[in-house]
Amino acid sequence: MATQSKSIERVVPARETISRDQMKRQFTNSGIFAILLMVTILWLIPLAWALDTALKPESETTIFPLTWLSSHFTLQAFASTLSTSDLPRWYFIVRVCGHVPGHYPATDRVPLRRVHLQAVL
Amino acid sequence: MSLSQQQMAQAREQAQRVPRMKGTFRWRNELVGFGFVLPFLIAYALFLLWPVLLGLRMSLYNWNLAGGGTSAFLGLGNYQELFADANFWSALWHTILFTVLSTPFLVILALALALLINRTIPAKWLFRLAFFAPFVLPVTVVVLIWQWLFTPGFGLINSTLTAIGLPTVNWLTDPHVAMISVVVVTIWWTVGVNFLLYLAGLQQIPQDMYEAAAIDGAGAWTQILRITIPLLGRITTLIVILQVIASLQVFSQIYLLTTGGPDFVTRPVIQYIYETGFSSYRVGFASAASYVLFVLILVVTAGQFTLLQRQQRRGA
Repeated sequence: MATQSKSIERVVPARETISRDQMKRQFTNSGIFAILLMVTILWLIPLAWALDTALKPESETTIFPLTWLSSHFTLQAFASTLSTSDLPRWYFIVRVCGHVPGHYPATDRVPLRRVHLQAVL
Repeated sequence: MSLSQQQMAQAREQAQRVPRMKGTFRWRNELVGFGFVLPFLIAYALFLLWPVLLGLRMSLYNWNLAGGGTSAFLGLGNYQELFADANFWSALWHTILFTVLSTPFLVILALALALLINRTIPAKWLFRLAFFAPFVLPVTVVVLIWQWLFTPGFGLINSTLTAIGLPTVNWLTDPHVAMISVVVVTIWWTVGVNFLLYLAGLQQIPQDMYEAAAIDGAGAWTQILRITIPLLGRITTLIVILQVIASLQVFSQIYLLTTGGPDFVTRPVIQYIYETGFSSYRVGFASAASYVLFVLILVVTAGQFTLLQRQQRRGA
């Protein structure tokens, strides 16, 4: 009986207890938010650094000490990649030809790979 | 109780009686069904069954990529040589080490992130995006990004270490650190899948169970330990099984990051198979090694399934 009355107290708490519960929940949630934000930043840094490097002029990608900022951000790397390499053509070929047969060698099962390679050879 | 069972048995009998058709019609019906499955069966036999059986046959011969197929029958000679090869055992050990190091993080971190995100907090989309985004990238891009970060000297990680006054680390060339670097890259790359699976599992747990538990006076920790984690049991088993299989097959990110180095300390067993098969042209020997790995994965998976079934029986 004692436990029952205790549980009823929790169902219909007094006004102060609600606000204290809410405050506690808000406190926990902001703590969780902070943790998640830190992990998220950690997860995004590699991607952000890759983008940052891509937007720097070539000569500034290897300077030391390194910096996130650049003297001027440029799309030069994208332009030269698209104009001087076969990237667009390969992208098209992979999209069209590589999609369905690509699933077979993509599995790490070696017998399949071997046959695929023999077929290509 | 017995009456309802009787009724159910009767209903089952009736259900079985209904689709029983005349002989020829049924035969033709099955033939049509078989016709529908045939295209898949042909592809399956041609690209899966046949290579697997051919691989088994190859493993018994001194089969060479540069000619010399079935000329020299070795019996179990390839397997004997394999088990005597210290390089094979060390490669197998690296694969197992990678699995043991990566799987706990990939499961527990995914669960922790999913539990944290499953609360009423703002900017959920950002967290979901951040954890899943790396998985969309192909392995070459992932390796390129991380090689750039790991670069000694002007790489982001080592420069940051220097800036805060710590000694730099040769992430990919120090034999004691290289495997850890590989595991870090793998966690960053693939934790998003398990995270997403856990998130889906969490959303299937009915909310009223938590309400009932709160009424009974259970705190947040008790709710997680007594409701959330037990109800996620099935999805945890699925994730662990898939993760162990995937980790035992590790190859591409290691091969691209370190080529199995330094001094072969990160070379996984798939790379050993690849090198004996395609650099030494000994596909018969490589097939034998593939079959040993295949049996290992089969045994591990069967063991996990047995554990799962025992768990379920205890639960029921």
